Amino acid sequence: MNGADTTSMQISLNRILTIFKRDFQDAVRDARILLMILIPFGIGVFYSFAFDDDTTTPTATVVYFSAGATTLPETMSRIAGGTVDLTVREVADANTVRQQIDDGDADLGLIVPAGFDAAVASNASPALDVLMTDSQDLGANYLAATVQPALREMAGQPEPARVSFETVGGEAETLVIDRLGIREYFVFAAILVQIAMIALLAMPSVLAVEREQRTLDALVMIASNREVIIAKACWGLVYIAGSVAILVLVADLIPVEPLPFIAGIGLLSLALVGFGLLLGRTMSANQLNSWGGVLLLPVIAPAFIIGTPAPDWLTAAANLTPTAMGARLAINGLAGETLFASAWLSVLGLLIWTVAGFGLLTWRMNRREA
Amino acid sequence: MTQRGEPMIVVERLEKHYGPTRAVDGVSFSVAAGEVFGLLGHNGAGKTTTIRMLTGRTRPSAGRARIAGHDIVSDLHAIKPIINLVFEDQNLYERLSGRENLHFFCDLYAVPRVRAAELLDIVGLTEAAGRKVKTYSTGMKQRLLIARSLVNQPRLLFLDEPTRGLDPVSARDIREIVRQLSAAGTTVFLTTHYMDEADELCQRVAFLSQGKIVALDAPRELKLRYGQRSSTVLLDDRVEHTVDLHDPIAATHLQEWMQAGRVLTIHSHEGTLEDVFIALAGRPL
Repeated sequence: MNGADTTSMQISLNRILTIFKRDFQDAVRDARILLMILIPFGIGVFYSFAFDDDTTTPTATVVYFSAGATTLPETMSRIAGGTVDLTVREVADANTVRQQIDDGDADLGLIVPAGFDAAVASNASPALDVLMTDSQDLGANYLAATVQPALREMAGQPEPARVSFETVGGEAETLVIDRLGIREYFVFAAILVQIAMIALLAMPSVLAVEREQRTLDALVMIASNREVIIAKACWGLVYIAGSVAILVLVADLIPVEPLPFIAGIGLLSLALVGFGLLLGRTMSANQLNSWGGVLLLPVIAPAFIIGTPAPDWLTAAANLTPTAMGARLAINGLAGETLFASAWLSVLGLLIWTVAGFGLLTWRMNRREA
Repeated sequence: MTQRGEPMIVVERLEKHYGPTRAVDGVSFSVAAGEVFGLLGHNGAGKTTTIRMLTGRTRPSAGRARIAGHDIVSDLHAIKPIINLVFEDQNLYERLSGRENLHFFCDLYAVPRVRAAELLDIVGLTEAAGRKVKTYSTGMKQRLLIARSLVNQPRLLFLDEPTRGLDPVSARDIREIVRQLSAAGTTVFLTTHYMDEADELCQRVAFLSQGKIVALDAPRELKLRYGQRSSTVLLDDRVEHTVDLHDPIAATHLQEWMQAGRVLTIHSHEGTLEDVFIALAGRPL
């Protein structure tokens, strides 16, 4: 940026919009740029359809026949809580219970004799038939384990001990992949790759080619360097926003809390766009083609270190990167709960990275022009 | 100096340093409005750096320059709309058509797009306007570059090696466009390696060597001052003699031959700008 550009501070929205529109249209005609955008999109769509275990909460269906009124299924359901996604069906007779278990239509069957609840309450030890399939389904096994506690509760027997569970050792002891589910996790991974590829490969390539082919010189005959950079940044951000939005919709990756998700993705994109423009001003198009893919690895990797049982030093280092900061915010939004604490630190960190990226870019341009 | 009006460019002791290297070393000159001014020199003499500074793409290390009365550093925003440049490199958007290239720059300069059609007509590219630029020949690209540089109807046009690598016909077309621009009152600042071109187009030329201007005047004056003036005389014995017109003895011989009626033909040789350049820089371009 030359001295006059810096002092005059005259920014023309018309010129920014004109450059932005040209870049936007030109990228559609550039097969290389299109591939950089479409590959991660394709991967995300593939993950979305390849994995359907959107959640790790096991499911189970209970079918029961009771000769009289019983609260057993309801008690079991209460004890299971949110740990099992439970469906309870009452049928007309015991044979139907057996048939549905045999057909695999239900995971657990209960045949409850008449007067069962009263017999349990009087500690008469009534008979109870529990039918299960021979599969090792997690939900069915967990549900079977709730039968005895339910019966103790119905018998009015106190619990042997009051057990309280507490999570210690900080945040995200549960693996993020377990919390989000494989499908969400990998689609989210594809989104991060998509952001990184647009910000750190596609956009720098466009800028580097303009620099090398000297079309940039033609632009700055009327536009300022500042206007060119703003237009390129807008191009990158709009492409990121558009492609992420499409992938989110196609993959049905709707965040429970949109605000932290959008903040994480948006601030991460802004920070990476700054560094992408710096790459575009610094490296040649050939260097970007050769080394761009390698550069992506250390940028993307930290997002997949956090929320895993990695060594503390590695997690601490990863947490300093913009990708991890953006991922922490976005994952919180996806999960709808605070899996990663201190969101404000992530926001602050991302803002610092953004200022650093654009600051280095300005310094580089000043140094080059002067 | 034969100025036709107020100076369009005034340069005073302009310098550009890259570390210890002085790419431009204290050059001073002025260019009148409507003048075609040539800046000549070897590769690396400082021509392109001078243009970069005058067009605001590089900050001078020292000295100052004004274009149409505006300082090139502090008033660049006032200068940009009235100047343009035909680059040495054919820096066009190759995936766009010729028309799209011009439309883009019309939009940048906030000029109605109808101007693109006018310019395509002027440079003879109307029929090829819809084709992608990457299918253009070098000459067509050069004409499109000229059209692009005229989008904003610049009062001052810089031409950096505008005919380099062109076939003779295309080069002639470009020179004709430059003549028309000059006739219309556009100030033209030309750098070229082709001495004949500078001689043909420029009212004045400056020779740049190692960042310094070593001569500046009208081509004819420079040729008279630095060029070799000689004549080839064919005598009645069919022997050719080259007569150095600076040499009084040779001139006496010529007078004697004339008086004796021995001269069959006589051809005078005016010095060329190439001779001037060799005389000043010690080697040809």
